[in-house]
Amino acid sequence: MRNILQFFFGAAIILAGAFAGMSVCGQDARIQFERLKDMDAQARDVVEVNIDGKMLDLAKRVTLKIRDKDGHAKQIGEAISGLKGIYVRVYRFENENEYNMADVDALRTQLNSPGWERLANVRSKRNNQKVDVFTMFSGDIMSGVAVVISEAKSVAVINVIGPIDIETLVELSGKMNIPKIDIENDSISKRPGTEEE
Amino acid sequence: MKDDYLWDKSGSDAELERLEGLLSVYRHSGETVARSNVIEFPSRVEGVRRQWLLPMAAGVALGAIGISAWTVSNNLSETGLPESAHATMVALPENLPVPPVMQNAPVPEHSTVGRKSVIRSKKARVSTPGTTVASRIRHRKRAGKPLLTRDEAHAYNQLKLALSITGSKLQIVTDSVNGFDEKDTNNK
Repeated sequence: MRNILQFFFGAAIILAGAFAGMSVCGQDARIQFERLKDMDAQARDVVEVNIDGKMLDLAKRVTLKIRDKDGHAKQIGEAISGLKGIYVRVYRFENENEYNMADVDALRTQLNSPGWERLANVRSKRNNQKVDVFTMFSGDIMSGVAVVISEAKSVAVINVIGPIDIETLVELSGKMNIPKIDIENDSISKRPGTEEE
Repeated sequence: MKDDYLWDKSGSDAELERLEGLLSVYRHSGETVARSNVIEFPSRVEGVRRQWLLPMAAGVALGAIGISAWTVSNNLSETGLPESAHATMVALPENLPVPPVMQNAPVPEHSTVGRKSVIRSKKARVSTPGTTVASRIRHRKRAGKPLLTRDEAHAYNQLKLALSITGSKLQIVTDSVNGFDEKDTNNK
């Protein structure tokens, strides 16, 4: 009888460990943005971009199709070749602390779950700035990146699913007629470049 | 020569008898002559009746040729045209109504509007005033720019926007981290 109980206890532990491992491996790197719905009505400016599935495939094909002089389109195509989705939410408010910080903290709680690893955590009392960067790895391959930046007047959440060359992305930002959006200063400056269309 | 012999063959005339002997070969035997040797001229009445047949036949033939030519030319305008003809396409008139059902429906590559052929893209579009589809295609080809569909352009623009925002926010992270590193260095 005792042996049987020990056997079942050991089996239960093994199964629990297996399920835990499976849940971590199969975890989706996508963030749930439902808690940010209230900010849509409160914010003065809202930027919401969702690129996945067929639209992402189409955009990848376009980057291969376009041949610019500097080859930026090709670089971007290579940088996003393994991506499965890009989700962006940016909210800018008229006044300070106009949004519910609990909503942003709930988002950060999602990123504290197993699978996500905090890469950077920056806090600054100036503008009440909080910067968090999380990554998720499946083995040796990056499966997701999440950036949460909250300030007194703005909230920005970026979720990238799949491996992405961050250095190339930062380097190319502002080139190839991609507008360098500076939401803090509420201005958009375009770098003169070749018109692709 | 005595006239009597020549009149009623009375008497005799050596000279005439000699001539009769020579010409006796050609004397009529009384048989009918083969029709092939005789040229029959139609009577005046029959010629009048048959006179209008020839012009009528010519008119019918010309009419048939004209109708067939017109039919063939119409068929050519409906079916495929050589590429050089694309440059001569005419834009749709501005007020041409496009049913809402057809606005996003796939349309054949060539369609006829009256007797004018118009190139349409696979999704029906209303051409802007003052421009033609052919001129826009020529402009793009001249500029060396790839032709992007509406969906492709939208996807590409969305991608650019997303990447620019992502890049700028990552730059903020980098600056924030570098800013703290510099503070730590200064404090030490």
